[in-house]
Amino acid sequence: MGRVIGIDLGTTNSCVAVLENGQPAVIPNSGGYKTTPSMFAITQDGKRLVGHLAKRQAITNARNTVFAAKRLIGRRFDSDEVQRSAKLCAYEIARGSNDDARIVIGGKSFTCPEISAFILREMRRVAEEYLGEPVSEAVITVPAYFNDAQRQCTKDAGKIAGLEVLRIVNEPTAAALAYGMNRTGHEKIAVYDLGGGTFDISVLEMSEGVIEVLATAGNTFLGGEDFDRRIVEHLLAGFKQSEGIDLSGDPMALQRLKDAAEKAKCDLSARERVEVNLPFIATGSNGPVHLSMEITREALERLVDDIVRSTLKIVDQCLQDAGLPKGELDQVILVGGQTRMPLVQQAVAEYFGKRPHKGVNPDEVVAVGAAIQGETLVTKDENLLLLDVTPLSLGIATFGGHFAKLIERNTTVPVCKSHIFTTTRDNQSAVKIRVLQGESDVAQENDLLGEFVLSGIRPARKGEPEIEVSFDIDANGIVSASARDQATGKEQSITVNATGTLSEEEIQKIIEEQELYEVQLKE
Amino acid sequence: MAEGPRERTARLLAEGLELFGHDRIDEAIARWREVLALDPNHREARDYLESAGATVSSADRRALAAQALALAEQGDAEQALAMLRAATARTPQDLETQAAFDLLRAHGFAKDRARLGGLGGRPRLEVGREKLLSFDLPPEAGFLLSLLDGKTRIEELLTVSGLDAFDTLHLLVRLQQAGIVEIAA
Repeated sequence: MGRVIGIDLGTTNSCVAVLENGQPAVIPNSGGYKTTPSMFAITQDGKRLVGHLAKRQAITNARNTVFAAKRLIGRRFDSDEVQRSAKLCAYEIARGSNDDARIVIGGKSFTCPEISAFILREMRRVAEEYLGEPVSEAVITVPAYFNDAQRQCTKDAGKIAGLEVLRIVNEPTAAALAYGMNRTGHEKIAVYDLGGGTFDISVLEMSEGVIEVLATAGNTFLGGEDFDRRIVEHLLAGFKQSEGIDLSGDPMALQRLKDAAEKAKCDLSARERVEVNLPFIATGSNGPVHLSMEITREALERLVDDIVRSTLKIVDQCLQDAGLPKGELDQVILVGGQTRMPLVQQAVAEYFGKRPHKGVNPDEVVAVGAAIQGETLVTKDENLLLLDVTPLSLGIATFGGHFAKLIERNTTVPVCKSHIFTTTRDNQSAVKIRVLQGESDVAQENDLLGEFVLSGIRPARKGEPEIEVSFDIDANGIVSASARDQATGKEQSITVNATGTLSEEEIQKIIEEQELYEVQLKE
Repeated sequence: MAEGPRERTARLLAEGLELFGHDRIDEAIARWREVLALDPNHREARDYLESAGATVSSADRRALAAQALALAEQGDAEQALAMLRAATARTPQDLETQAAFDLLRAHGFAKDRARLGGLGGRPRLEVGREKLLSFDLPPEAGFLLSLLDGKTRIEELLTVSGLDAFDTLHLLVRLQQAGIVEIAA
């Protein structure tokens, strides 16, 4: 039996870990870094780049470099998130054949699971190089708010990458697992996760190996990248003022500014001031022009203060959902590289009235939790029981366009619930069941997961037939549904194939295509 | 004293302009073509001909390509490339000029690769900030230098720079020759 790896498939960076002799080990890539940018690119000469190499050319080859594909996975093309991404991204996002979002780069259209698979395959390769053996099983983490479609698509991505996904785990749950390793007792914790591209806050309850997510909230367009952008804007404005040169239209200069901004931001977590030096950034009338500017921690904090404050409003909402006053929390765990910033730590400490826990590495904790979960699954460790919750209510569309919730959000999974429905017309012989996920009372404002028809209902007056609709949400958060006419016993069940999920045939075709590419590369 | 090539070119150009000004277009075109016969890469003559709606003959283009390749053989590859770069920019559809340009670039790329000891080396910055600033470098060089970390191989640099591979390699050679960059095995 091979080793199970834990993968934190992040919006901006990904990380892979494994348990070695019961202790977690985060695996460095060939460059020695423990995180790998979740980026994929195709160069002008058709080469495919993943990770650091893709990131280093991300601005100069912006139209062919994919970042933050996680924001698109499992979403409909018309959704707000996809449309907002389309405005922000230099790469093309197009409508797919089943209304999903597709990414067009290098003249080729890719599904979102395909793009995520490039990242997962890279993480698998990193792990295989480190372990010196093939790896075929993994636990992959997703944000707690991911719906059925997003989870299924992530699983598809794992399959394309040659991984059997043993479990999809919520990121805060994984963080709590890593934090709670070797801990006993009863604790309520908040996981404050400020990553490169997203912010999530979750409240969990841990008790004797049982971990339960009580509530979760977040913003998928808020993260460390926004901090970098503010620094870049600051540098651009300063340079324009001192040299009279506008660099905002120069991709080479922007790539350097972005890299320098990210580095300055990280350095300012440990130092009070840093100097940004970018020699030969432009040519002026008197020859080469260099950028040299000092940034202080205080200046950076002024630039991003509103972003940090905005996260706390989301924390308020989450605590309300959990029905917990902040004083009742025992611990606050920081996740995501951006939480290294002293301002973030200070704001969180002030908000919760306690210093955040510093015993876990914010970049690695989620992958470590996933690795722990992987080990638990293969060793069948019964001391650790994960109880996650479904992040969105699940139900069906009813007469008049209403949404009948069958499973409320934040219900612990796995869960199975059923409900009796009836017909709305005399002698109605069939009913169409539309399965939805969301919080709106209006059906069409929620995400449609799928639909199926139950036919052969016995002729009867409206309201007489009893149709039992059952939903199962498994431990991965993936939904299946069935309907049964109680009189005839006729039953119909489906595994909901939601937006962007791929058929077995499609997955196989993608795998073959990628294998062909790799063969061509070797030739 | 007999008229030298430069004087003759200048005279023909001026006569062409004078004739063009009097709407004697065919005669103007003939003068400028004479200029091209003397100097196939003469920018002004080509521009005037294009303005006059006259196409540069394929014989002229062949002559230019041959002249550039001859220059390269004599060791002046920079001048030859400059000529062909300008020519391909003017007539991008001309396959003959493009082929000569590609050939020169391929030769140049091979030479530069040999100078750098292959594409597997890992370039790194060899000078301090103060010394670096004493050089007169273009932004492309600044950008390329920003990508050097001593770990990335030349081959990867060519890919991630997003710049033209030939130009990038050539720039790297120049930076190495200037002592700014060292290539570690």
